[in-house]
Amino acid sequence: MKKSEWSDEQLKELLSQMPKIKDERDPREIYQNITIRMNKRKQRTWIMPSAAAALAAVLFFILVPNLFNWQSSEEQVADLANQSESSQKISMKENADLQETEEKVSIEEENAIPYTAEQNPEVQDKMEIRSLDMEDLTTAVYEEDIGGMEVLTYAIPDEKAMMAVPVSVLVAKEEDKTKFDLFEENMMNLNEKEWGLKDYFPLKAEFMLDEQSKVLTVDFPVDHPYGDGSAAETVFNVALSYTLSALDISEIKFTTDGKPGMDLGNSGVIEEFIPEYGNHAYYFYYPNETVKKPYIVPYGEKFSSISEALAAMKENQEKAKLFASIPDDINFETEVNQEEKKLTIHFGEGSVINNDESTLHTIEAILLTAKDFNYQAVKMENAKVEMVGRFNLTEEIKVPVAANKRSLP
Amino acid sequence: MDSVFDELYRKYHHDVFQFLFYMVKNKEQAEDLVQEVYIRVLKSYERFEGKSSEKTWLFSIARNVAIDSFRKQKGWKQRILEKFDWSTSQVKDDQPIPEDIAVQNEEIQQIYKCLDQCTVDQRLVIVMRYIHEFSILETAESLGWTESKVKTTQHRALKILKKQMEETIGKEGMESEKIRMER
Repeated sequence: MKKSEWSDEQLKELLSQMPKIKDERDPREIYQNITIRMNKRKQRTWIMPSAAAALAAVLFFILVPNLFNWQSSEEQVADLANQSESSQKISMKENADLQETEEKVSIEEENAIPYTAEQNPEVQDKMEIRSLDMEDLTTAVYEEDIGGMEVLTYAIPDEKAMMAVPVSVLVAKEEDKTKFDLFEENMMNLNEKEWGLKDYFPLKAEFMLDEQSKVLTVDFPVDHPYGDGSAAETVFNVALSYTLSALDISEIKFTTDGKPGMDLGNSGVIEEFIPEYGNHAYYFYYPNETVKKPYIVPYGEKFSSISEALAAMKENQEKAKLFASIPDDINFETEVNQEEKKLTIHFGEGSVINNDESTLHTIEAILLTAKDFNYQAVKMENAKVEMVGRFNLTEEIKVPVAANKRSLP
Repeated sequence: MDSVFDELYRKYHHDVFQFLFYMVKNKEQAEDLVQEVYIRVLKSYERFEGKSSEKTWLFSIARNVAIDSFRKQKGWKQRILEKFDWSTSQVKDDQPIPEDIAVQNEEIQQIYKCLDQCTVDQRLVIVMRYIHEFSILETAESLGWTESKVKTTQHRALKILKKQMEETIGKEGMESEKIRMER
């Protein structure tokens, strides 16, 4: 077969003879197509990422709660194990939670079958599930919650400095530190803003406590802000009174820059501070709309008797944005036993006492007021229910140790 | 209409279109791709710095568009195989010869078919250098190559074309040979 031979030149020439190919479309048509496609692409560029982001968010919301539940169910299992070994380490709080759950379950299981975890695994399951989504709805610190911790109370003014909210935190005890040391130390750690209150602590003052005589000396700088106007002055008095009331102090002396006396605006120069606490009525305070649990706050004039204070607690205190802590539909008579420091509340007919959150907080307000009047226990009678949250109304209820429990970071 | 588009259309549209046509050998596809070229150009026109000429810049975009379309056409299997065997990197298609070519003489049709045997790079060079009559420098700029790479690729491409032309014409017998000899 004869091989034909092509030179480069021939090939090049042949290629140059290749026909011209033309786009027969109208340029306007092309332009239109382009703009349509460019717009489409723009849309696509944000549709995909936003769809992906939305999906990620959905996944996040599905996965994260599961993760938490999983962790807390682990804890629960561990707690149960601890409890069965009657280990000393189990904290009082968890213990109380469990008791509470048991109580709740027993209320619900009305068929009166005596409940034991071993006999009825189903009930146990139920109990675990319930305890997961149940939080402690009480606001104050109770004796059984302390579990060897130290309770520190700081009275923090609200944003408008109309009153001071006593806030209590539990901190671990340390061997070589006194309660006062812990008090001073943790003053720095308070989350006032996060709690919806005014950034007040640490106070612009130095504290010195003589452990022997229990005399506290508070040394202020010359430019301290506590005498700026009568509101600041009043709230400072209240805040300091309630803050120091929980500390074992016999006398409080004020100095300014080392020299005796402190200038507190209208009150003039004060050398000795006499804390004024006790005999107040407690009201509900909601710092903002998102807060479900109220603060229970002492406010207003001192009362000569607890029945007057309790009567005042049915009124809102609009000046300080405080709400009545006892609803109109609860009526009662009070009976006091000064010797045993006991208060008896006898609910009137038609009083609405339910096992719900608002009644629980009303009971706490009554307990805190009773504490302010120096009572040690309260007995509530003639309620239609036996249990309100953690409180067993068939028995005497001890007054709380401190108001408005919060945790430190 | 956009003034940039207007100007580019007037100056280069048919050239770019023809270039794309000879690369993909399909008129509809070339119509699509030329639009894609405009989209990319209009998006990045501000970034055109005038370092290269407008023409080679436009063709470098057209070349990218063409190569991207080949990648899309090929399945992932082929692409993986290609990674292992560089010599097979050819784009074959069995499309019928377009009308514009079919009306031409047999040799033109032959060489049109033979273009399939070249690699994409070789075909780029052939189309630019001989159909569009670009200089070596212009080709190098459009492709982002050195001039020597253009030269070697062009040399290899011609060799392949020569071989292919000889084989096919040999197979098809004397008639086509006669035509050639008549010249």
